[in-house]
Amino acid sequence: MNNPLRSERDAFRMVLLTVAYLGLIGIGWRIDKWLGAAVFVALTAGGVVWLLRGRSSSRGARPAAERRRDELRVLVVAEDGGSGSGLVEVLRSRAAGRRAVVQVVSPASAERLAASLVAMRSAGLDATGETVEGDAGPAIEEAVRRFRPDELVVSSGPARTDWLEPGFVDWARERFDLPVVGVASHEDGAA
Amino acid sequence: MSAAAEAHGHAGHPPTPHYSSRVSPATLGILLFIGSEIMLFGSFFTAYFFIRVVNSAFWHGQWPPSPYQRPAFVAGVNTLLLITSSFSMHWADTSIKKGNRAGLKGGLILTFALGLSFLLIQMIEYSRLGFNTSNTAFAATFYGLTGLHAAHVFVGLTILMVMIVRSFRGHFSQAHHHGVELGGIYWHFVDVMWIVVYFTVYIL
Repeated sequence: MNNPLRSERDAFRMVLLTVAYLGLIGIGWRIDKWLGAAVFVALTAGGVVWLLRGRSSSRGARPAAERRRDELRVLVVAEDGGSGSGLVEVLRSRAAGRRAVVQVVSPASAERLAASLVAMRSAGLDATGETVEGDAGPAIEEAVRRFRPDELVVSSGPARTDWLEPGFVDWARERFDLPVVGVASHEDGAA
Repeated sequence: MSAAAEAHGHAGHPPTPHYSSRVSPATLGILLFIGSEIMLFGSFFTAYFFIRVVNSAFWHGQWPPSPYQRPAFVAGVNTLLLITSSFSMHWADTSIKKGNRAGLKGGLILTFALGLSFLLIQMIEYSRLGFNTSNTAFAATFYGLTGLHAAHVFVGLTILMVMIVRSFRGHFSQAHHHGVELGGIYWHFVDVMWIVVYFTVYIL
């Protein structure tokens, strides 16, 4: 289950959900106390079901058995949005002629990520992406759970931040049962 | 430099810390803090409901017991102020993530002003209620819950003031804004708790 207070945005969403939840119960309570109790039970039950469904479903993921054999799914963890030189070449190299389906997760701005995705698509990669907030570890665990990649590529570029802690690649290798490639695109393209 | 540091090859700086979890110590710290806060508020809510239920027959099912009145309207205005402050806090956080420092400063100042207004209105309302903590169990739990929350708003305002000073000193940027993130989480938590307090104490 996701931590509802993982980031400021999640906490803000929690405020809105609390307003909606208690607001509806309060309206029901004002009309009739039993109606308020019924709304409470219905909303709470609905919330529990929604949470359980959220845990069991994996949006966008496909079981390995259903995947095409000529397809490689790569999750790119891009500190800099994936804009550094060398990343696209590494991805094409990893695909080795197969269709590369790339999902980029990055703390960079949406504009920067969009520019990187355009560059990847123009290079023939089936690339999508999303910006993430909060700590890198939980965000990437969530992305792996949803996307079910075959490989993980960790990219750090010229605009280095403190989002990825030192030793992150080693941690990812221990944490996920996947090939993990580190790319320092601002230096020599790949490391 | 110590021999141990030399042996590890970290000349001039301490060794890189190793975390068993990918949650940063700062985030883990505030999550543990908020967890303890939830338990603290939980104990106050338990006392409130216990007194309300146990004394229901004694007060003939009337809550609050006569002649007490809850200032629901003023508390409702205060609720709107705090919810609005959550929006301005979110605006501040979103702004710095886009590199907009003016938006960060504006959002933080607006959040501080709304929080301060909340606190001042509550203090004025306290002075006009006409009862104090020693009157009845209802009064004690009423002041206990709302006062506990007010103390948290005060802490939140202090954190906001630090954030405002830091923002004017240029400490936050698009790449480095963890301080805004953590302060924002705390402020939203304080808002969520007030919404629960308002609903419990003033509506039910």
